Amino acid sequence: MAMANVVVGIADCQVSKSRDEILVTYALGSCIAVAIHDPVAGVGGMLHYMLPESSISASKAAENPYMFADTGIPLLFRRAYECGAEKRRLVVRVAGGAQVMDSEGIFNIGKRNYLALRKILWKAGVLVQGEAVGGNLSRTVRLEVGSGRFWLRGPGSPSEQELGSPGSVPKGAQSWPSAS
Amino acid sequence: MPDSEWSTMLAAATGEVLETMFFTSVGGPAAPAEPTAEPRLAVRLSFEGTPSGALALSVSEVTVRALAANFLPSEEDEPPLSQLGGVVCELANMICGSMLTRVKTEEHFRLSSPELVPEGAALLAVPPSQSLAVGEDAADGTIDLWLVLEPHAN
Amino acid sequence: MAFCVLIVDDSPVMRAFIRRIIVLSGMEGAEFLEASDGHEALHLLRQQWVDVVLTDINMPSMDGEELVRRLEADDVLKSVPVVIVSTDGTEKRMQKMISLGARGYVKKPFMPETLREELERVLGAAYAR
Repeated sequence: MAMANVVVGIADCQVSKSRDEILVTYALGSCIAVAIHDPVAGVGGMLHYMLPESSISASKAAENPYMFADTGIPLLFRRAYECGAEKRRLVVRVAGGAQVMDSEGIFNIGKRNYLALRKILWKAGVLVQGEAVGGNLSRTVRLEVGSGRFWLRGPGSPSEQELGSPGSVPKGAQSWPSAS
Repeated sequence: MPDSEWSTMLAAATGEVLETMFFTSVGGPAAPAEPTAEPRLAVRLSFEGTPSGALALSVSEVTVRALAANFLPSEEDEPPLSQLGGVVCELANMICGSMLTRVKTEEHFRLSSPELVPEGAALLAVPPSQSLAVGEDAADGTIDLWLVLEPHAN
Repeated sequence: MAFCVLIVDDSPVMRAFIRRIIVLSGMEGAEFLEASDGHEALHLLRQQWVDVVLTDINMPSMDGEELVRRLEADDVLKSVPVVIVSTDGTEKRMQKMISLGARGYVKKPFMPETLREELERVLGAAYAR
């Protein structure tokens, strides 16, 4: 079966019910990718967001809600539900939030993006099955809509690592400098 | 152990607890909260070990509401005041325990149950050992922390 | 018969936090018992079967360490798995609690997934989602 890559860009979101599609997003620095999958409905979705809170710019949020965690994440879930996904069946993986200098010289946006995600998911009553966040490496991730498997790759690395497969122990590769 | 090490451990523990359980970042040092009409919640607990001592903290009620909403999301618009007290007590318990976990000692520490301290208590009139900004915006609030260590018996 | 969880902690909000994690882990049908110290916990344990005990260490009246000792000393209750949930994250305390009979340990502060993983590790298939 020929697999088709569906690219999720920066500040973008894709949801699919096609078994032969793979949702992929590249070069997550301080941005975060949230991948969700309902194995029963066969629905997969991925959001790639840049910033934690839309309150900094209502006009930007209206133009592109996928730029922010607080507008993008609820939309990702809603679009998945519209395709038949159910919240309690969803398997969630998270990647990104690296501690890198972004274009505005803000150093801790990765951590802020991660905290925003955690708050939103906890309030929504959703637990994470696998995560690879923090550190200072940029990551590329992909979600197979057919199988629900989630793969992760570091920059310039040919080898992929599977994350949060059902039954596996989620890897919390979190490593921000401690607050001190 | 010098005071600066205790300050560092306390700040690190505060950051770890607020980020992990309350999804709130801790900024750098801040000025102690101004005495204003804004209600604050304060809590104190003591610990026995090497050394023994006490930790107190004070946070504005507005900030505690935000932290409580993150920690225990609820359908209700306004969690009861008793729940706010419970949240700030557990916050103090975890900050204290997390700080003491960082102390290099052979002994276990024993923590007392945290207790709410009424506004105007003598303890709170003393300048705090340190104050930290809570949240990203200046408006988010400040946490004032008092750490008292009993001198070692030599 | 519903899966029964006993949560022992002198903080009501922490007990509620733990309860929420277990429900969100897929255990919506679980029955929850709560106690604020070791004495209350023992009292409940003598009244009905519990599948797992989650307990803090620092509590008034009877602490978590004493509770684990008493459970281990009881022919029936020693088979109930105990998971410690405590701010004391020192290696020394963890080893002590495990040597006394605790099957798992979660250090506060913790992410919800950490507690879920530890319960899955300790309980295995009984805690399947």
